[in-house]
Amino acid sequence: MALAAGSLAAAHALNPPPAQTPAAQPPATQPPATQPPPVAQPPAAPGAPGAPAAQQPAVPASRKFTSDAGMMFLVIKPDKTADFEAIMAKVKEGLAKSQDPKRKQQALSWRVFKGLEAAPGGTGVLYVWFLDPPVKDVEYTVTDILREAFPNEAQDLWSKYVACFVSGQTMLNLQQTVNMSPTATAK
Amino acid sequence: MRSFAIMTFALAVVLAPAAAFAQNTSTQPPPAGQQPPAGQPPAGQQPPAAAPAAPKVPFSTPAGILLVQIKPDQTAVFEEMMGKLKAGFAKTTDETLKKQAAGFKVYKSTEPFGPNTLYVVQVDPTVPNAEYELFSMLQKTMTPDELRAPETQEMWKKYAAAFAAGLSKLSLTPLQ
Repeated sequence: MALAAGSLAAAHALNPPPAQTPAAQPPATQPPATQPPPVAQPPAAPGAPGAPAAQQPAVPASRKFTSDAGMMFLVIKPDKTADFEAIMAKVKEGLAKSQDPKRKQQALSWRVFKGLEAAPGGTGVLYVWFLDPPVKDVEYTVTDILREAFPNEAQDLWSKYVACFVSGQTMLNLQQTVNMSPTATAK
Repeated sequence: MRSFAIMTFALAVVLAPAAAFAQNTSTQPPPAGQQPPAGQPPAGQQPPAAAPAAPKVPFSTPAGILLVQIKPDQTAVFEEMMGKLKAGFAKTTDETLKKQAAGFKVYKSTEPFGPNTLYVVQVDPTVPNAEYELFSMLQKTMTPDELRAPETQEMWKKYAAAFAAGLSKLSLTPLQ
């Protein structure tokens, strides 16, 4: 066992540590400059009347997931987490009251998590959506859902929503590689 | 320091502007052979006899994710490692590992992360304060004979070489 442990340590010593960044070492986890990151997207504007086009952030083509699972990373201002969580509760309520079966289906597998780790400098709180499985080729744009469910409040909700963000959203399409659970069935 | 490093990567995923990346150009992994990972003795040295070490990658929240950057030509090696971990989970008698396996899924991102392939390990639910460092988990599933086998050292080297950078951990609490 001691030999094996030594072998493991040696393997790590020969290579970049696969699992951690040694203390006092700069983060070893950044991509090189000029490399494109995963798709980063600002929150979508609702397209509501009265929202001047010049003030709208660049709106991505869509927030449709096309694979087995999906994730969205959202960085929220620390003093806006209550607002953001209230909007997420509105989204949940909107999905529940929707008559569209696809919206109801979205609600079944859309989970929202709050990150524990603080952003450097306290610049934001990380939230993560996990969609497993997503409803493929259906929009996950929050403002669309709010506009459908709460048309009279959509503009106010949108203003409140966009004010929560430190930066845009990052969307990942995921393919399940391994489910370690002994009861899992192959996808 | 570790949590800072971990979170910085998470933000790199999220904070897309090129400026954010440009500020981190000096943050590449150390050259091979320069440093052992923190918390482990340098190769060839025996760890001090002491109480069991605290987990290097624990979770204290109900859920979590690990973001894993793999070299694009090494994805098969990483997936082999994950397959070996699954096989190890299936045969282990360690109750903690069995619980860990029940909430452990590995996904491959369609979107690359810079030049690398991004894998996401979803842990839901977590086993509080269990070890989620992938190499340590795999090691725990192996028998003493397997650990002593001559080919095992080569296996560690092969697996370690597939990683483009360290893990990034996010501890997550579900909203109600």
